[in-house]
Amino acid sequence: MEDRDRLDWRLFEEGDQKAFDRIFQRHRRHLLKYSSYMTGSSAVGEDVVQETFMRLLEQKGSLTIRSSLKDWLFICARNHSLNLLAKRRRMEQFLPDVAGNNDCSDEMKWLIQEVLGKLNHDERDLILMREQQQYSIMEMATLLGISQEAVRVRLFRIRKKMYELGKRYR
Amino acid sequence: MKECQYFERLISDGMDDLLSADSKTELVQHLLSCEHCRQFEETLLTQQQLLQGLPEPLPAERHLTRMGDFSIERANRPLWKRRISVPIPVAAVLSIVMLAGWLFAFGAASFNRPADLRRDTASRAVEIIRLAPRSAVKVDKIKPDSAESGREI
Repeated sequence: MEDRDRLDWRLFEEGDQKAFDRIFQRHRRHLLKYSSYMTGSSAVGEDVVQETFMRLLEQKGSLTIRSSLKDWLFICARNHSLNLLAKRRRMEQFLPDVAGNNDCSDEMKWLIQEVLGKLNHDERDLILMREQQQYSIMEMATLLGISQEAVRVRLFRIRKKMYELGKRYR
Repeated sequence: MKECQYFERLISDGMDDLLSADSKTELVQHLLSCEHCRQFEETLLTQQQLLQGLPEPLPAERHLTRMGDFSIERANRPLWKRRISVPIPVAAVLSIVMLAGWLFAFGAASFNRPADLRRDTASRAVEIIRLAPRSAVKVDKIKPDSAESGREI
């Protein structure tokens, strides 16, 4: 995927508009999923994805891909989500409305979204990176600029907190 | 229970494939005898499965329609609807130039007034100054010294 991203980005910089569309199609889904569950709103998630690709467009001719375009897009969407949440913290609480758009009648799926909503931003970010985005501990440590041990410890604390929260709903 | 805290950590590490063979054996042996840790592991694995299988937030078509080909749309936008960004130093220089131009034009206009108009303004000013002390005492008793001073000011 990384090679295809690099190729498509080069083609886009040379003027191939369809190459950008291919990048968009390839990454839109996982970014939307992360940002929607991160912000607790599918509408906000859409805005985050749109903003992320707008920023990518603005990087035409000046973007240097160090690791991968996927990581660049993810970090961009993550930062934007966290910024929105920091602004929103003063106004309202996290209210997961993501389930409202889905056939999510299953009680367990409802439960996990409730538990996600009870986590703070950083905890939700970390657990979504690991479980939903499937980043490895090493990748997370690199992206977040912290040690692998720190990621392990934080993940353990979050899982423990989720376990305790889950017990309350039983 | 203190022992369980250690194994809870191992369970979490096991979910991230970070356990050595020895730690795995140790954990399995503990799980055989500890109901609490078995339940802990089961719950964490269920939560992991649920998180990995979180439903899609939106139907793809709707999102695609909204996103569309926004880059092309932006490029085709008419000139008067495009956003223009001007760097702050350029905007500051432009503002100073405009202000200087306005001051210059205003000053020149005032200097170029007709001479009689300027004289009239000056004589009225002198009259105001002359009448001022009297009006301060009693406005009713002002008597014009000349026909011209009887003009309404």
